[in-house]
Amino acid sequence: MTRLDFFMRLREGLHRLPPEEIENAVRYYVEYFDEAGPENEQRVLEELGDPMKIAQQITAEYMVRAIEPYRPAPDEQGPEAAGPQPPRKSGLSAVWIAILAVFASPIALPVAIAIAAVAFALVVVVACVFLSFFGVSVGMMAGGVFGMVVGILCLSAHVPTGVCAIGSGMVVSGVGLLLFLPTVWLTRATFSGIARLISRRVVRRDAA
Amino acid sequence: MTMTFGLSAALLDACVLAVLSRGDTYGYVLTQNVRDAVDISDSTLYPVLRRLQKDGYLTTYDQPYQGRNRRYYSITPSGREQYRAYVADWGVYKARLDEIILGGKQYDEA
Repeated sequence: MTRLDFFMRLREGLHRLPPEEIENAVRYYVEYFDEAGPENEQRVLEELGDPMKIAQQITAEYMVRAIEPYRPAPDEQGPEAAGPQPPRKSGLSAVWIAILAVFASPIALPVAIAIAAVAFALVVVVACVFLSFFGVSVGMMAGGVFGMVVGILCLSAHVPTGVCAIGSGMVVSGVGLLLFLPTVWLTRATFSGIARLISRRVVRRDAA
Repeated sequence: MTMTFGLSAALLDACVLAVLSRGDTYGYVLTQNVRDAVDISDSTLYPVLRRLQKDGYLTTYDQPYQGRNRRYYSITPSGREQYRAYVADWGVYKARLDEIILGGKQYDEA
């Protein structure tokens, strides 16, 4: 590997960071090479090792710092020491620029509306499916209970009918209950999954 | 020198702050100094320095040298405070390790 390769790979590895951070890092290693002198270039390359690994470490440190809450001011505050503000700022403006771009474009607007409509329709469909499951299970439970009540009332008139009604009523409400619990779980899981997906995409934008 | 025992991130921070507490210096010299004491062959100092800077423990300034630039690192008052804390922690850590590795209790002089 040459010094040039090293810096190319380093910049590549650092691409997720804001330009200021990339320049800071590159500058450090440029200085390092310069300090060692051109005659030691090979030795330094060996010493530093894989530029991708270095880039990974630098990126990881930066991401951690970006998500952590802002710490109270220490004595010296350089322009970079403002904690999570810089990345959040760039993430937010990127989102607003994207929205602005969509609304500014005459062709993109109908497309955006269509996409939003489809997304909305999907949500409605999913909600309806869950609603129908609820309906069926609750209906069965209610119907089963009703059947049991009728059965008890029939007992005075005709015992076998009454017993049959009570029995089948219990079966129906049992099945309804069996349907009800997984439906609740499935609905909750789906919606929390969607929420997590949305929040993850928002966080990634902020951190990038 | 082979290093059987790995180096924790906190120890590396402590070393950097220790070197800087004795005077400002630039990246290359700082690395050589730290390298004298510990084996940092599979990591480099830049992420550490960046983190310490973001934590407010050190600042940087540039000084031209022979037509190029040198970025100097300087410890801050809160950095000195942190260094003192590390020194105290290190004393305890060292004592505890001695106890277990060397075996038996070490009796201090009264």
